[in-house]
Amino acid sequence: MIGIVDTGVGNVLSVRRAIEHVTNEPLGFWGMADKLVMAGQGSFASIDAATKMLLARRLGDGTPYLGICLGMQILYNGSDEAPEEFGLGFLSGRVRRLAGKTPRMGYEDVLGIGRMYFAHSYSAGADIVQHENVTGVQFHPEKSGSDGLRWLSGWFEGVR
Amino acid sequence: MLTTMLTRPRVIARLDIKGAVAVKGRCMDGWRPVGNPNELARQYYEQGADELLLVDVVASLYGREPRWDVLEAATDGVFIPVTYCGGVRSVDDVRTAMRHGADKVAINSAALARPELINEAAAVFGSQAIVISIEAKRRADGTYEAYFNSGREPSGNAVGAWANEAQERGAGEIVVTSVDRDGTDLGLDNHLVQQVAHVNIPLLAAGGIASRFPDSVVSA
Repeated sequence: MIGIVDTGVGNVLSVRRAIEHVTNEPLGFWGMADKLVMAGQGSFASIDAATKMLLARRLGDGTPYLGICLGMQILYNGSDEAPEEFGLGFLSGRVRRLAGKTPRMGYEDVLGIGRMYFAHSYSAGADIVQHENVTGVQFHPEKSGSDGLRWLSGWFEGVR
Repeated sequence: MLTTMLTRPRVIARLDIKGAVAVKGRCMDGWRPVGNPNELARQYYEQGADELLLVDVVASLYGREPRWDVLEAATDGVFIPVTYCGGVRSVDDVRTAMRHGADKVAINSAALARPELINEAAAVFGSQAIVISIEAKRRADGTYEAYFNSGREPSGNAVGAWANEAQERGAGEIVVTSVDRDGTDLGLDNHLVQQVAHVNIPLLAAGGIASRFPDSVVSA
Protein backbone atom coordinates (compact mmCIF):
# COMPACT_ATOMS: atom_id res chain seq x y z
CA MET A 1 0.00 0.00 0.00
CA ILE A 2 1.27 3.44 -0.95
CA GLY A 3 0.60 6.46 1.23
CA ILE A 4 0.76 10.12 0.28
CA VAL A 5 1.91 12.26 3.18
CA ASP A 6 -0.77 14.91 3.30
CA THR A 7 0.49 18.20 4.67
CA GLY A 8 -2.68 20.02 3.63
CA VAL A 9 -0.77 22.19 1.16
CA GLY A 10 0.57 19.83 -1.49
CA ASN A 11 -0.56 19.33 -5.07
CA VAL A 12 -1.94 16.05 -3.80
CA LEU A 13 -4.22 15.16 -6.70
CA SER A 14 -1.39 15.58 -9.24
CA VAL A 15 0.84 13.26 -7.21
CA ARG A 16 -1.94 10.75 -6.72
CA ARG A 17 -2.74 10.64 -10.42
CA ALA A 18 0.91 10.13 -11.35
CA ILE A 19 1.25 7.27 -8.82
CA GLU A 20 -1.92 5.63 -10.12
CA HIS A 21 -0.58 5.98 -13.65
CA VAL A 22 2.67 4.08 -12.96
CA THR A 23 1.61 1.40 -10.45
CA ASN A 24 -1.38 -0.79 -9.67
CA GLU A 25 -0.73 -0.74 -5.94
CA PRO A 26 -3.57 0.59 -3.81
CA LEU A 27 -3.32 3.91 -1.99
CA GLY A 28 -4.16 4.26 1.67
CA PHE A 29 -3.53 6.15 4.90
CA TRP A 30 0.12 7.14 4.98
CA GLY A 31 0.49 6.28 8.66
CA MET A 32 0.08 2.61 7.74
CA ALA A 33 1.44 2.45 4.18
CA ASP A 34 4.62 0.52 3.35
CA LYS A 35 5.77 3.10 0.79
CA LEU A 36 5.52 6.83 1.26
CA VAL A 37 5.46 9.77 -1.13
CA MET A 38 5.33 13.35 0.03
CA ALA A 39 4.16 16.04 -2.35
CA GLY A 40 5.37 19.54 -1.91
CA GLN A 41 3.88 22.83 -2.97
CA GLY A 42 4.04 24.43 0.46
CA SER A 43 6.36 26.56 2.54
CA PHE A 44 8.78 24.99 5.04
CA ALA A 45 6.67 26.33 7.93
CA SER A 46 3.48 24.73 6.61
CA ILE A 47 4.23 21.22 7.95
CA ASP A 48 2.87 20.85 11.46
CA ALA A 49 4.53 19.06 14.38
CA ALA A 50 2.16 16.08 14.30
CA THR A 51 2.98 15.38 10.66
CA LYS A 52 6.71 15.69 11.32
CA MET A 53 6.42 13.40 14.33
CA LEU A 54 4.71 10.60 12.42
CA LEU A 55 6.97 11.07 9.40
CA ALA A 56 10.12 10.87 11.54
CA ARG A 57 8.86 7.60 13.03
CA ARG A 58 8.00 6.10 9.63
CA LEU A 59 11.39 7.06 8.16
CA GLY A 60 13.16 5.68 11.22
CA ASP A 61 11.31 2.38 10.71
CA GLY A 62 12.94 2.04 7.29
CA THR A 63 9.83 2.70 5.21
CA PRO A 64 10.78 3.57 1.59
CA TYR A 65 10.12 7.28 1.14
CA LEU A 66 10.10 9.58 -1.86
CA GLY A 67 10.10 13.26 -0.93
CA ILE A 68 9.28 15.67 -3.73
CA CYS A 69 10.36 19.33 -3.46
CA LEU A 70 9.29 20.30 0.08
CA GLY A 71 9.17 16.57 0.81
CA MET A 72 12.93 16.55 0.16
CA GLN A 73 13.67 19.82 1.97
CA ILE A 74 11.96 18.72 5.19
CA LEU A 75 14.54 15.90 5.50
CA TYR A 76 17.25 18.44 6.42
CA ASN A 77 17.94 20.28 9.68
CA GLY A 78 16.31 23.56 8.74
CA SER A 79 15.59 26.10 6.02
CA ASP A 80 16.13 29.79 5.35
CA GLU A 81 12.42 29.86 4.43
CA ALA A 82 11.41 29.49 8.09
CA PRO A 83 14.48 29.85 10.32
CA GLU A 84 12.43 29.28 13.49
CA GLU A 85 11.32 25.80 12.34
CA PHE A 86 13.28 22.56 12.50
CA GLY A 87 13.32 19.97 9.76
CA LEU A 88 13.56 16.24 10.50
CA GLY A 89 17.34 16.20 10.50
CA PHE A 90 17.27 12.83 8.70
CA LEU A 91 19.89 14.31 6.39
CA SER A 92 22.41 16.79 7.72
CA GLY A 93 22.54 20.18 6.08
CA ARG A 94 20.49 23.25 5.62
CA VAL A 95 18.09 24.39 2.92
CA ARG A 96 19.17 27.79 1.60
CA ARG A 97 17.60 30.49 -0.51
CA LEU A 98 18.66 30.30 -4.15
CA ALA A 99 20.62 33.28 -5.41
CA GLY A 100 19.60 35.23 -8.48
CA LYS A 101 16.21 35.11 -10.10
CA THR A 102 13.81 33.01 -8.04
CA PRO A 103 11.78 30.91 -8.12
CA ARG A 104 13.75 28.58 -10.37
CA MET A 105 10.83 27.67 -12.63
CA GLY A 106 10.83 25.41 -15.64
CA TYR A 107 12.43 22.32 -17.18
CA GLU A 108 16.04 21.30 -16.89
CA ASP A 109 17.92 18.21 -17.96
CA VAL A 110 18.92 16.17 -14.94
CA LEU A 111 21.83 13.89 -15.78
CA GLY A 112 20.77 10.29 -16.25
CA ILE A 113 17.14 11.03 -15.46
CA GLY A 114 15.69 13.28 -18.14
CA ARG A 115 13.93 16.59 -18.56
CA MET A 116 12.42 17.50 -15.21
CA TYR A 117 10.26 20.37 -13.98
CA PHE A 118 11.53 22.56 -11.16
CA ALA A 119 9.59 25.16 -9.16
CA HIS A 120 11.41 26.32 -6.03
CA SER A 121 13.11 29.24 -4.30
CA TYR A 122 15.05 27.23 -1.71
CA SER A 123 17.43 24.31 -2.17
CA ALA A 124 19.52 21.82 -0.21
CA GLY A 125 22.10 22.03 -3.00
CA ALA A 126 21.22 18.83 -4.86
CA ASP A 127 18.52 17.94 -7.38
CA ILE A 128 18.35 14.38 -6.07
CA VAL A 129 19.53 12.69 -2.89
CA GLN A 130 19.49 9.03 -1.85
CA HIS A 131 20.21 7.83 1.69
CA GLU A 132 19.19 4.46 3.10
CA ASN A 133 15.39 4.14 2.63
CA VAL A 134 14.98 7.77 1.66
CA THR A 135 14.98 9.47 -1.74
CA GLY A 136 14.57 13.22 -2.17
CA VAL A 137 14.05 15.03 -5.46
CA GLN A 138 13.87 18.77 -5.94
CA PHE A 139 12.12 18.34 -9.29
CA HIS A 140 8.53 17.25 -9.85
CA PRO A 141 8.41 13.79 -11.48
CA GLU A 142 4.60 13.91 -11.30
CA LYS A 143 4.61 16.93 -13.61
CA SER A 144 7.52 16.31 -15.98
CA GLY A 145 5.67 14.51 -18.75
CA SER A 146 6.81 11.07 -19.89
CA ASP A 147 10.36 11.48 -18.48
CA GLY A 148 8.91 12.14 -15.05
CA LEU A 149 6.50 9.21 -15.18
CA ARG A 150 9.29 6.89 -16.34
CA TRP A 151 11.48 7.95 -13.41
CA LEU A 152 8.61 7.59 -10.95
CA SER A 153 7.82 4.13 -12.28
CA GLY A 154 11.48 3.19 -11.81
CA TRP A 155 11.43 4.40 -8.22
CA PHE A 156 8.46 2.17 -7.40
CA GLU A 157 10.16 -0.77 -9.16
CA GLY A 158 13.21 -0.18 -6.98
CA VAL A 159 11.30 -0.39 -3.71
CA ARG A 160 9.04 -3.29 -4.61
CA MET B 1 25.81 30.78 -2.27
CA LEU B 2 23.73 28.57 -4.54
CA THR B 3 22.89 29.86 -7.96
CA THR B 4 20.05 29.04 -10.29
CA MET B 5 20.85 27.60 -13.67
CA LEU B 6 19.13 28.98 -16.72
CA THR B 7 15.92 27.13 -17.36
CA ARG B 8 14.67 26.56 -20.87
CA PRO B 9 12.11 28.99 -22.29
CA ARG B 10 8.63 27.66 -21.75
CA VAL B 11 5.62 27.53 -24.04
CA ILE B 12 2.42 27.27 -22.09
CA ALA B 13 -0.95 26.40 -23.59
CA ARG B 14 -3.78 28.54 -22.25
CA LEU B 15 -7.20 27.00 -22.09
CA ASP B 16 -10.16 29.24 -21.29
CA ILE B 17 -13.27 27.74 -19.79
CA LYS B 18 -16.77 29.07 -19.26
CA GLY B 19 -18.84 26.71 -17.15
CA ALA B 20 -17.85 23.20 -18.21
CA VAL B 21 -16.99 24.18 -21.78
CA ALA B 22 -13.70 25.24 -23.34
CA VAL B 23 -14.07 28.59 -25.07
CA LYS B 24 -12.10 30.93 -27.27
CA GLY B 25 -12.54 34.66 -27.04
CA ARG B 26 -11.21 37.80 -28.60
CA CYS B 27 -10.04 40.70 -26.42
CA MET B 28 -11.51 38.78 -23.45
CA ASP B 29 -14.99 38.92 -24.91
CA GLY B 30 -17.31 37.05 -27.27
CA TRP B 31 -16.29 33.61 -26.01
CA ARG B 32 -17.44 30.84 -28.29
CA PRO B 33 -17.42 27.16 -27.35
CA VAL B 34 -14.56 25.13 -28.83
CA GLY B 35 -14.83 21.78 -27.11
CA ASN B 36 -14.29 19.62 -24.08
CA PRO B 37 -11.66 21.01 -21.67
CA ASN B 38 -10.10 17.61 -20.87
CA GLU B 39 -9.86 16.58 -24.52
CA LEU B 40 -8.11 19.83 -25.37
CA ALA B 41 -5.86 19.71 -22.31
CA ARG B 42 -4.74 16.17 -23.17
CA GLN B 43 -4.19 17.25 -26.78
CA TYR B 44 -1.96 20.14 -25.71
CA TYR B 45 -0.06 17.85 -23.32
CA GLU B 46 0.53 15.32 -26.09
CA GLN B 47 1.58 18.10 -28.48
CA GLY B 48 4.38 19.00 -26.08
CA ALA B 49 3.06 21.96 -24.10
CA ASP B 50 5.43 22.71 -21.21
CA GLU B 51 2.57 23.72 -18.94
CA LEU B 52 -1.14 24.37 -19.00
CA LEU B 53 -2.85 27.56 -17.87
CA LEU B 54 -6.53 26.93 -17.23
CA VAL B 55 -8.58 30.12 -16.97
CA ASP B 56 -12.19 30.33 -15.85
CA VAL B 57 -13.03 33.53 -17.71
CA VAL B 58 -16.30 34.24 -15.93
CA ALA B 59 -15.71 33.23 -12.28
CA SER B 60 -14.67 36.74 -11.22
CA LEU B 61 -16.78 38.51 -13.78
CA TYR B 62 -20.01 36.86 -12.63
CA GLY B 63 -18.92 36.60 -8.98
CA ARG B 64 -19.12 32.80 -9.18
CA GLU B 65 -17.34 30.13 -7.20
CA PRO B 66 -14.61 28.46 -9.24
CA ARG B 67 -15.75 25.30 -11.02
CA TRP B 68 -13.55 22.88 -9.09
CA ASP B 69 -15.27 19.93 -10.77
CA VAL B 70 -14.29 21.26 -14.18
CA LEU B 71 -10.70 21.84 -13.02
CA GLU B 72 -10.52 18.26 -11.76
CA ALA B 73 -12.00 16.77 -14.93
CA ALA B 74 -9.89 18.94 -17.24
CA THR B 75 -6.55 18.01 -15.63
CA ASP B 76 -7.01 14.23 -15.65
CA GLY B 77 -4.15 12.59 -17.57
CA VAL B 78 -2.24 15.85 -17.95
CA PHE B 79 1.24 15.26 -16.51
CA ILE B 80 2.62 18.78 -16.85
CA PRO B 81 2.22 21.66 -14.39
CA VAL B 82 -1.26 23.15 -14.36
CA THR B 83 -1.89 26.70 -13.22
CA TYR B 84 -5.50 27.45 -12.36
CA CYS B 85 -6.79 31.02 -12.71
CA GLY B 86 -10.29 32.38 -12.08
CA GLY B 87 -12.23 33.42 -9.00
CA VAL B 88 -9.53 32.49 -6.45
CA ARG B 89 -10.29 34.76 -3.47
CA SER B 90 -8.70 33.16 -0.41
CA VAL B 91 -5.98 30.86 0.89
CA ASP B 92 -8.67 28.18 1.21
CA ASP B 93 -9.42 28.56 -2.49
CA VAL B 94 -5.73 27.93 -3.27
CA ARG B 95 -5.86 24.80 -1.12
CA THR B 96 -9.02 23.63 -2.87
CA ALA B 97 -7.46 24.20 -6.29
CA MET B 98 -4.47 22.00 -5.32
CA ARG B 99 -6.88 19.26 -4.27
CA HIS B 100 -8.59 19.39 -7.66
CA GLY B 101 -5.59 19.08 -9.93
CA ALA B 102 -3.81 22.45 -9.87
CA ASP B 103 -0.08 22.73 -9.17
CA LYS B 104 -0.02 26.53 -9.07
CA VAL B 105 -2.71 29.17 -8.78
CA ALA B 106 -2.92 32.50 -10.59
CA ILE B 107 -4.78 35.43 -9.04
CA ASN B 108 -5.86 38.71 -10.59
CA SER B 109 -9.11 40.35 -9.43
CA ALA B 110 -8.94 39.30 -5.76
CA ALA B 111 -5.30 40.41 -5.46
CA LEU B 112 -6.10 43.85 -6.89
CA ALA B 113 -9.00 44.16 -4.43
CA ARG B 114 -6.92 42.97 -1.47
CA PRO B 115 -3.19 42.72 -2.20
CA GLU B 116 -2.50 41.12 1.23
CA LEU B 117 -3.92 37.92 -0.25
CA ILE B 118 -0.60 37.50 -2.09
CA ASN B 119 1.36 37.57 1.20
CA GLU B 120 -1.05 35.18 2.87
CA ALA B 121 -1.03 32.64 0.03
CA ALA B 122 2.77 32.78 -0.42
CA ALA B 123 3.31 32.25 3.33
CA VAL B 124 1.40 28.97 3.20
CA PHE B 125 2.17 27.58 -0.26
CA GLY B 126 5.50 29.26 -1.04
CA SER B 127 6.07 31.82 -3.77
CA GLN B 128 6.59 29.15 -6.44
CA ALA B 129 2.88 28.23 -6.27
CA ILE B 130 1.48 31.77 -6.45
CA VAL B 131 1.21 33.45 -9.83
CA ILE B 132 -0.12 36.94 -10.41
CA SER B 133 -2.09 37.42 -13.60
CA ILE B 134 -2.12 40.94 -15.00
CA GLU B 135 -4.68 41.89 -17.63
CA ALA B 136 -3.25 44.99 -19.29
CA LYS B 137 -4.81 47.61 -21.50
CA ARG B 138 -2.93 50.38 -23.22
CA ARG B 139 -3.82 53.94 -22.15
CA ALA B 140 -3.93 56.86 -24.59
CA ASP B 141 -0.55 58.07 -23.31
CA GLY B 142 1.13 54.76 -24.17
CA THR B 143 1.36 53.43 -20.61
CA TYR B 144 -0.55 50.33 -19.49
CA GLU B 145 -3.12 49.81 -16.76
CA ALA B 146 -4.02 46.59 -14.90
CA TYR B 147 -7.65 45.53 -15.36
CA PHE B 148 -9.79 42.96 -13.58
CA ASN B 149 -12.97 40.97 -14.19
CA SER B 150 -11.67 39.63 -17.52
CA GLY B 151 -10.35 42.92 -18.80
CA ARG B 152 -13.48 44.95 -18.03
CA GLU B 153 -12.70 47.02 -14.95
CA PRO B 154 -9.75 49.40 -14.63
CA SER B 155 -7.87 49.11 -11.31
CA GLY B 156 -6.01 52.40 -11.52
CA ASN B 157 -2.71 50.52 -11.12
CA ALA B 158 0.04 50.97 -13.68
CA VAL B 159 1.20 47.48 -14.70
CA GLY B 160 4.88 48.10 -13.86
CA ALA B 161 4.14 49.31 -10.33
CA TRP B 162 1.61 46.53 -9.74
CA ALA B 163 4.09 43.89 -10.91
CA ASN B 164 6.64 45.29 -8.41
CA GLU B 165 4.14 45.21 -5.58
CA ALA B 166 3.10 41.65 -6.43
CA GLN B 167 6.73 40.54 -6.41
CA GLU B 168 7.41 42.26 -3.09
CA ARG B 169 4.36 40.63 -1.56
CA GLY B 170 5.63 37.19 -2.52
CA ALA B 171 4.30 36.29 -5.95
CA GLY B 172 6.55 33.76 -7.65
CA GLU B 173 5.60 34.40 -11.25
CA ILE B 174 3.80 37.00 -13.32
CA VAL B 175 1.76 36.38 -16.43
CA VAL B 176 0.91 39.57 -18.25
CA THR B 177 -1.79 39.44 -20.92
CA SER B 178 -2.58 42.12 -23.45
CA VAL B 179 -6.38 42.40 -23.38
CA ASP B 180 -6.29 44.24 -26.70
CA ARG B 181 -4.46 41.38 -28.43
CA ASP B 182 -6.08 38.46 -26.61
CA GLY B 183 -7.37 35.87 -29.07
CA THR B 184 -5.84 37.66 -32.06
CA ASP B 185 -2.74 36.72 -34.03
CA LEU B 186 -1.27 40.21 -33.94
CA GLY B 187 1.78 38.99 -32.02
CA LEU B 188 3.10 39.77 -28.59
CA ASP B 189 2.86 43.39 -27.42
CA ASN B 190 6.54 44.08 -26.78
CA HIS B 191 5.87 47.54 -25.35
CA LEU B 192 3.74 45.90 -22.69
CA VAL B 193 6.41 43.32 -21.89
CA GLN B 194 8.95 46.13 -21.46
CA GLN B 195 6.76 47.68 -18.77
CA VAL B 196 7.19 44.64 -16.55
CA ALA B 197 10.54 43.25 -17.75
CA HIS B 198 12.34 44.64 -14.68
CA VAL B 199 10.83 42.08 -12.27
CA ASN B 200 13.18 39.59 -10.70
CA ILE B 201 10.76 36.63 -10.83
CA PRO B 202 9.78 34.56 -13.88
CA LEU B 203 7.74 36.58 -16.36
CA LEU B 204 5.31 35.13 -18.87
CA ALA B 205 3.53 37.02 -21.61
CA ALA B 206 0.28 36.30 -23.41
CA GLY B 207 -2.15 37.87 -25.83
CA GLY B 208 -1.70 37.74 -29.58
CA ILE B 209 0.40 34.58 -29.73
CA ALA B 210 -1.33 31.82 -31.64
CA SER B 211 1.75 29.90 -32.73
CA ARG B 212 1.76 26.42 -31.24
CA PHE B 213 -1.52 26.53 -29.37
CA PRO B 214 -4.62 28.62 -30.06
CA ASP B 215 -3.62 30.79 -27.07
CA SER B 216 0.05 30.50 -26.17
CA VAL B 217 1.83 31.98 -23.17
CA VAL B 218 5.60 32.32 -23.44
CA SER B 219 8.57 33.11 -21.20
CA ALA B 220 9.40 36.78 -21.62
